[in-house]
Amino acid sequence: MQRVELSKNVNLHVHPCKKFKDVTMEMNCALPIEETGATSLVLAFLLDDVCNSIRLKQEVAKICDDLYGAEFEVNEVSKGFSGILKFTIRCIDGRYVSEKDLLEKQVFLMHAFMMDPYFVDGLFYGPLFEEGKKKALTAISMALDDAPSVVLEEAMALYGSTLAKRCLPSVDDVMAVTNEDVVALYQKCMRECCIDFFVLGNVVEDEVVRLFQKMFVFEDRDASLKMYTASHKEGYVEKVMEKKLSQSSVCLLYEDGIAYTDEDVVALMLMNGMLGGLPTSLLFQVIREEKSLCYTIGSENYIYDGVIQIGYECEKKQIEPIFALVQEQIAVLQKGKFSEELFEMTKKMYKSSWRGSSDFASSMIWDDYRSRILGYEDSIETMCKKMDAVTREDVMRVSQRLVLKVKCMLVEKEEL
Amino acid sequence: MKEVRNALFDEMYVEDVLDNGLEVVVFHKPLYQTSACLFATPFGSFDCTQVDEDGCLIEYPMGVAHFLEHKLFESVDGDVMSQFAKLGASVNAFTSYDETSYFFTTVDGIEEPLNLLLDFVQSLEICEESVEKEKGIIQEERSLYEQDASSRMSLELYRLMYQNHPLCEDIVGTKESIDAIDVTVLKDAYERNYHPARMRLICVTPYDPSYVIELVRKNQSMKKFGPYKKVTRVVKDGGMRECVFTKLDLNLCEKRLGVGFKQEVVDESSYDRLKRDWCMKMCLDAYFTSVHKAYQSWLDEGLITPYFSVEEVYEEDYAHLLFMDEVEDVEGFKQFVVTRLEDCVKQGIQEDVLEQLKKRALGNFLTMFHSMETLASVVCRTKCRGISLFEEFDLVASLTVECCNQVLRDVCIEDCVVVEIV
Repeated sequence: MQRVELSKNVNLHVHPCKKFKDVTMEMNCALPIEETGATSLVLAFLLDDVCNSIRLKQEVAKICDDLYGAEFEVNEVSKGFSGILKFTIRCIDGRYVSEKDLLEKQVFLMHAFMMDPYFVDGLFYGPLFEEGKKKALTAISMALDDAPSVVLEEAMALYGSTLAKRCLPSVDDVMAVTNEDVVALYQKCMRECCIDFFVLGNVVEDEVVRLFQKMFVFEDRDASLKMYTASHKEGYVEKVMEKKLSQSSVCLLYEDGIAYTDEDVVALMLMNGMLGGLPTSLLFQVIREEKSLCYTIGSENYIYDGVIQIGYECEKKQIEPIFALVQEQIAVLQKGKFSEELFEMTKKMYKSSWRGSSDFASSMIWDDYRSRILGYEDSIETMCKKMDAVTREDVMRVSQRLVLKVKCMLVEKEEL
Repeated sequence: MKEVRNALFDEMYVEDVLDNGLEVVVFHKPLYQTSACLFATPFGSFDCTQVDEDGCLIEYPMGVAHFLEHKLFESVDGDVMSQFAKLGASVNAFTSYDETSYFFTTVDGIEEPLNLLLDFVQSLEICEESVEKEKGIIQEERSLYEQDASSRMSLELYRLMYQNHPLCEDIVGTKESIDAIDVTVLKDAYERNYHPARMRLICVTPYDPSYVIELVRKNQSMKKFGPYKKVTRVVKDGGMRECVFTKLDLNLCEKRLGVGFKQEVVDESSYDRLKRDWCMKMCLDAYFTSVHKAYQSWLDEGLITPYFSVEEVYEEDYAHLLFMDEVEDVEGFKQFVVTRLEDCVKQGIQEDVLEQLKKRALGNFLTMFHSMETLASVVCRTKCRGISLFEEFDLVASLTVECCNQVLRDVCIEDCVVVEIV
C-alpha cells in the first residue's frame, strides 16, 4: 500500500488488489465526537444527493449508470472520540467493460460530490436543504420504530460519555439545524479535519496518485485524530419504558475500562466472543439453545469506548430470569469455569474471521484506516499472534473488570 | 463433469451430478481466502401441501420447513455450530418460500467442514423432548417478525391479495401450526424432501473444483439412500379477498403505506417468467425512481418521500407489484400510484433509458462475484430456475423496448389493495 501526503493531515492511501471487479474509493473525514449529531446527520444526507455540477437526481442517475451502476453513499460512523464522515464510491473496473477512463471518471465524481456541493449564495440550495432535513427526520422516526434500537439509544444516553454523544439526535435537534450550521460544519471538515482517502482495487498506484494530486487540493491543517477511549461512569442506572409490543427488549451496558491500545484488548475481544459475540457463546448456547427462553440474544464489544453491550428480546416475564442467567454466564468467565473447548474454538473463530476479512473491500479499507489512527500497523497476522498468546487467566481478568452500569428495558404494555 | 467459463465476467465453475442424483456446482475463486458452501433443498414454506408420484396429497402444518431447519442443527455428537466453530468455520441456515439452505464459510481447509455440512444435513436426530423445547424459540422468533413493520407490511398486503395461499402466513408458521408440529411430522417431511436427488450443493472456493467434487463424491459414496420418490409442491390460491384495505396499529413513529396489485400467474417457462420479471423491473426502475424526470417534483410536492420503493415479483405460484412509502395521505398515495402506473403503462420504456439500465445491470452482475456467500446463494437460486447466472445476464442484455412494453401492457391495475400501518 502506498501512502501519499496530499497536504498536512490529508493523506491518500492506495491499496492495489486484484481480486475485486470494482474499485472502491473512500474519503474519511474525522470529526471530534462533539461536532457530530443533528448537523452532521443532515450534512450526510445533503452530500449524498446532488452536487453543484450535477444538480438533478435524474442526471445523477444517468452519470452513475454510465459508470455501470456506480454507487455512492455518505454516512457517519461514530467510534470512541471520533465521528467519521465517510464518502464511499464504488465503480466497475474498466478492464471488464473495455473502458479505459472509468477510474478518472470515478475520481471526478468523488471530487464533484465532496468538493463542490450545490451552494447558492454560500448556503446549500434551499429545497435540497429542506429535503435533507426531512430525510434525517424520517430516518430518526424509523429507527425509533425498532425496539432494540430504542433501548440501545436510551441506554447509551443514560451511560453518558462518548456513547451519549453518538446517540441519534432528537427530532427537535434536527428541526433546529440551520443551513448556516451545515455549511459551517462542511467547511470545518474540508479545512480543519484530518482527511484520509483510500483507493482499493486493481489500480496502478502512480496513476491514482497523479489523479488525486491533480483533482484534490487542500490546505495544510493542524488536526489530531484520536478515536479510542476507556469510558467511565459513576454509579448504576436502570430504566423501564413501556410500549405496545409483542416482545420486550432489554439492553445492558457493562463497563470494561479497557482502551483499544491496552495490552488486554485482544483478551477482551476473546472474552466477548465467549460471552455473547458468537453463536457458540455462553449466552446463545445456554439461554437460547438450552433454556429456549428467547430467540435473539448476544453481546457487542464497543471496543473504542471501553463498553460491552448485551441485548435480548423476550416475553416480559422472562426479562429477569434471563438477566439472572446473563449474570451467571459472566460469573462463569470470571471464575474460569468455562471449557477449554469454548476457549479454543472462540480463538479459532476470531482468527478465521480476521483472515476472511481480506475478502471484503470495506474491511480492508477499515484495517488500513485503523493502522493510520493507531500510528502502527495492526496487521491480521499480528492480531492472530496476539490472540494465540491470550491465556485463560487473561479472560478471567478482563471479565472481572465488567461492571454493569445501565439496564434499560422496553416492555410490552399489552398483547397485540 | 462439465466446465463452464465466461470470458466477460472472467469466471469459471464446474458442475456435476453424482450417482445418487445430487447436483454439485463449484465456482472457482482462486484469489479469495474464503470458501462458502451451501446445501439446499427445494423445501420451503410453500411446501405445506405436496403431492407424491401416486397422486397422494401430503399436508403439513405451516412452518414445517423452517422448524426442520432448526432441528437439523441438533446432533448426537453435540451442537453442530460448535463442531463447525472448532474447525474455525461459521455455519448458518435460512428458510424461504421455496427452499431451505444450510451453509458455512471458512478460510481454512474445506474438507472437514464440507463433510460436516453434508453429514449434519443428511441426518435427522430428534426426539419429542427436543422438538417441544424448540417450539419456545420458534414462537419467540415469530413474535419478533410480528412487530417488525417491514415484514408485517408485506404480509398484510399478501393477505389482501391472496386467499388460502401460503404467502398469507409467515415462513415460520402460525402460533397454532408451530404447536401442531411433532417428531412424526418432521421425520415424514425430512424423508420426502432431503433425498440427495432433490438437493443441490453449491461451493464457491479457492480450491480446485475437481478436488472439491471428489470430496463430495467420496462423502456420498459412503452413505446409502433409498429410491427417490418425487414430491411436488401444491399451491392453491383462493383469489382476492373482498376487503381491499387493512389498517394495523403497531404503535409506530413513522406511518407506513403499501399498495399492491395482484398480477396474473402465466403458465410459461422459467426463462420466460424470468424475462417477464426483468422487463417489469426495467420499466418500474425507469418510471418510479430518480431515472424519471418527474421524480424530483413528486418529492417536492410531497407525493412520495425518499423512502418510496417499488418491487415486482413474477413467480410460478404468485405475481404482484408492491409500492411502499412513509407518506401520511392514504388516499393520495393510492391515487398517485394508480395514476402513475397507468401512465407508466401508456408511456412505455424508452430505448436510451433501457440501455442506461442495462449498463447498471452489468455493473450489478459483476459485483455479485465479490461475496462468496452471496454468490453461492444466487447460483443456487438460478439453478433452481434451471437458468445459470451467465444465462440470466445474457437474457438481460437481450431485452428490447418491445418486449418490455409488451409486459407492461399485460399489467393488471384493477385489483388494488392498500395497507396502512400506524
